[in-house]
Amino acid sequence: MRKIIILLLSCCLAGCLSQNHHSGRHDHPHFTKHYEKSLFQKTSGEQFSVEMVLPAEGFTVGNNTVDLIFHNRRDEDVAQAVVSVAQSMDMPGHSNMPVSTIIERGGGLYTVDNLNLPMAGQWNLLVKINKNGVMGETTFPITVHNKGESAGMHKHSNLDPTTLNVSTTVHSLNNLFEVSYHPMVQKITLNTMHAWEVTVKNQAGMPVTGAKFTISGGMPAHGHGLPTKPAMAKELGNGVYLIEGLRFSMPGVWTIHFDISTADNHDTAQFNLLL
Amino acid sequence: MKMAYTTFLLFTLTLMCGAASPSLASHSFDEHSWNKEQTKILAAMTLAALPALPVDSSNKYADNRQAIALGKKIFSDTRFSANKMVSCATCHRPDYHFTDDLPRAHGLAFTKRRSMPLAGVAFSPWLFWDGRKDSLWSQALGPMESAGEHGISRSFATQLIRQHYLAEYEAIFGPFPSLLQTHTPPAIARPADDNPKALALWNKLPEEERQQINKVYANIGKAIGAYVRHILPGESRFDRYVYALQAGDRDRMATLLTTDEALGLRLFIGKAKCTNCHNGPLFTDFDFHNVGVAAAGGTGSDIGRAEGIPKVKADEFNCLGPYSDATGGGCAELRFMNDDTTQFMGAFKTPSLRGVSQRSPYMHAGQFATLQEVLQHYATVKPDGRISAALNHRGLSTSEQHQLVMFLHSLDNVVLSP
Repeated sequence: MRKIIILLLSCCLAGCLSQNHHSGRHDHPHFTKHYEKSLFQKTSGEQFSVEMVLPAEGFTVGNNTVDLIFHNRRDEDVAQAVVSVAQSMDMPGHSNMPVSTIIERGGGLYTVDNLNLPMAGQWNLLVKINKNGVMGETTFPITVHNKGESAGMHKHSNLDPTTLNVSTTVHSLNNLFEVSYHPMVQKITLNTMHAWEVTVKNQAGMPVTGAKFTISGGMPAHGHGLPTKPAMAKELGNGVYLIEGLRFSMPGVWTIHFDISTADNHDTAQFNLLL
Repeated sequence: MKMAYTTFLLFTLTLMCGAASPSLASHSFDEHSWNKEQTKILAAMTLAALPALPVDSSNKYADNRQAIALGKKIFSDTRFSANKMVSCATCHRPDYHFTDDLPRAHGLAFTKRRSMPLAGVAFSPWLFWDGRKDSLWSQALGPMESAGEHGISRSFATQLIRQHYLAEYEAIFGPFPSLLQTHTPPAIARPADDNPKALALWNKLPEEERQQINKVYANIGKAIGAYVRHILPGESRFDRYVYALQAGDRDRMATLLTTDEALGLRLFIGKAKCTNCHNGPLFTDFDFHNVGVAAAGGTGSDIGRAEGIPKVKADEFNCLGPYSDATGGGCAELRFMNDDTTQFMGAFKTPSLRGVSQRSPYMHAGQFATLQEVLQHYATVKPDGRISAALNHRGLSTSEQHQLVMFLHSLDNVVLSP
């Protein structure tokens, strides 16, 4: 019963407030959202609206670029304003964050470059604007993912240990290479640093020489990367390469990505391992 | 109405707890029965599965008997401290699993982290909670010059060797540098980043003398490292239980682990996913994880491994440095270290669990006094972008947490040392 009374009272109050709003029609701000895929907020004091267009893959660990679009109370573009952005996390030790570069593009659009977000998790982005002494600020709560995690999670959807493809020979994603690995130990065991011999062939089955490797990977189910940073140590000839620095620290499903570049081609091969 | 609802809730909770209680569960199956796959997992966690000590290519004296003996002496020699009261053994107490019972280590003052236990430490590629050292000999040199620990300098340490251990030193490492026999460097001289006077005096020394001091200092570390390397965990009831399982001796198994302990072990390798990080014969993956433990009071924020990575890279006493004995092809851990600090913010090394119930408190700054508190933390901590998803232990009931704690007691042991 008490709740109903409170509800009724709230409705009455809300009605009064909206009435007041209409009576002050002259000063009513005309904020509208202009971009479909943006986060929209009004600044404190309701002098400006801010739209934030997120990077395509969302915020990721490292440097990000984000667009901010400002409009005033009459929904006009805000040009030549002083804009600043400060990133913070609700944990200590993030007081001195690197400063981003802000470039005005025109039409009220400001691009924030080098927005450094050093770790995954929940962050706050404080946006401040000063246009001829009229100031406003607002905070956007944002989620930061590890690189490749948000998009990568879908890619790794079939990592069920029972049906996992653990073949030691695979075709690269665009079928440019056939890649196989041979561990230089009898059996890959937890926490043993070891090397792999990796063989790369082209579509015609011929050895690929002079390839460069970028190696990444991790445990998709746990969202973490490799405990080490493996690298190609030596080209052994005939399309065979020595990859050193492999060590797996946990039982479960691991993925290893070989990003392979030659003078003409570039493709990625993915191996799955079950430890 | 409210009263009746509360009563109903309590009744439901009681039922739920009852379902998970060991007494009911033990009637439905034999807690000492393990399938083939489980037996394999358990066998891989026993001391029998522990390989031979890994070769330390950076320390050619690592298994030298005289070096071990000298290292043991220096380990508990309080002359290697500014107040003549602190030795390695102050914080790494041989009677307390080579750690201490304080939340944060105390040498000359409190440090920001807990002392680490030493049993089986030779198997760890990285030393300290943040892995800022890559060998035991290099690790031993850090606390000596730390103002809050031993508080001495490398210059002073080399003079202590000359005065008290000259013959033993020379029998292992060859002639003590003649320059350091005839000239005594200023006692506080060291390449300090926290003491401008000590740094100025160090910089004033001729390059040759600095190198010789460094060499003797590294050798002190190599002797201590040789000793510490041979500190190993002794057999536990858990090991004997698995050996009995392998021998098919069900009766003996029942005398080694209680029902709760066996159920705890089942959780440990199963539902609770403890083996995500605490795997292998030493119950550790030797890796670094952010486990979402709040910073200890008075220590400020601690980014852990993220600060250890640049430190180990820059360390003159690392595996690739001029005082290491490693030659080409060695130092794989350092050469292939994952140096992306963003992945390791607030991450700390997974400690071994052998003997864990005998050496409270817990976590990197002793945040928890009991294992119950640790389990309670893991049962509630929620993985997010910062906290490793490997830590997903949510949904462990109070009785399951209790069983896990009981199981950890079966890892009690006696630490073996030279």
